[in-house]
Amino acid sequence: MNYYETLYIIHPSLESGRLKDIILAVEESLKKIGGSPLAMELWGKRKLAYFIDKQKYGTYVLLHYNGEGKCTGEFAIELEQNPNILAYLTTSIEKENVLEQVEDLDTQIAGKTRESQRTESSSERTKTTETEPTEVTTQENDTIDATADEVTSEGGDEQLDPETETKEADTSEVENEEESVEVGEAKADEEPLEATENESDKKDTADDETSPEEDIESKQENADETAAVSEEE
Amino acid sequence: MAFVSNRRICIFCENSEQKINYKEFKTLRKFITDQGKIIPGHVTGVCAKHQRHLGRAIKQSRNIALLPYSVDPRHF
Repeated sequence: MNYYETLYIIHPSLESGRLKDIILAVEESLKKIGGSPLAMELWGKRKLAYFIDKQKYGTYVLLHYNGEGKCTGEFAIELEQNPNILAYLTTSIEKENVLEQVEDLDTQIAGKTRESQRTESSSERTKTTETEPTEVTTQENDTIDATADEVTSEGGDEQLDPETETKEADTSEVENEEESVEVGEAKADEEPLEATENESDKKDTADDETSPEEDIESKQENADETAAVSEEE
Repeated sequence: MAFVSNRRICIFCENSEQKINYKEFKTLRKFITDQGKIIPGHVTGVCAKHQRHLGRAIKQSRNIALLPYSVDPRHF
């Protein structure tokens, strides 16, 4: 009676249910031949060092058993005839090196599937973390805009003097005549409110619309200044 | 001038707990080149006995696709 170990690779497309059937079928064929399985260890799905039957991955299973010398040859024929097994390797081992069966087949398969799910989920998490910051920045920009609008609207409500409001609105209209006029006409059509409120709205919209242009103008001015300084130097 | 020996000691002779097995392909990977060739013992310092065991283990690992037979040098 000798001790052997066989490491065989199962087709990667077989998942938990069919994988269990294949492993049990292999053990049954070994029992028919005359060997007695002692321990089984599932390594899980691994990347192969080279392609076997056009497959890049394979599920490794390690099987320890004992039996007569002739059972290895017959077991090899069985594995060779099984289309779901890509490759196998049988070696003789000492009795001391035989593994102790710690976990059942079901728990091992469940553990390996959990590990694969974890790896998939971790990869998804990395993808989400890559996409999240952009969303956060957009949300922050939205909130900043909302707060800016609130602040401007509050300021417009507090300033109840119609003359100052009209002056400011006029100045904003001078800066951006066409857009403010269009907005004012649209709001007048939609909301027939009091003149002061319309004017305050005009001011807000004009400020919001003109602010980026003002920023661009100020940037251009700064750029011109820096260019002039560099030329002087 | 004192004689200084450059001979390296076999790591498997030094550390008897470290076994050579085809399943431990991570340790075997140290004894093959990037192309997958077995590095000779006089380069790695492994003794003749353990070099024989290493060669057998590497060939067994290649058979079960744990180690490559050869890697195209254009791929690295």
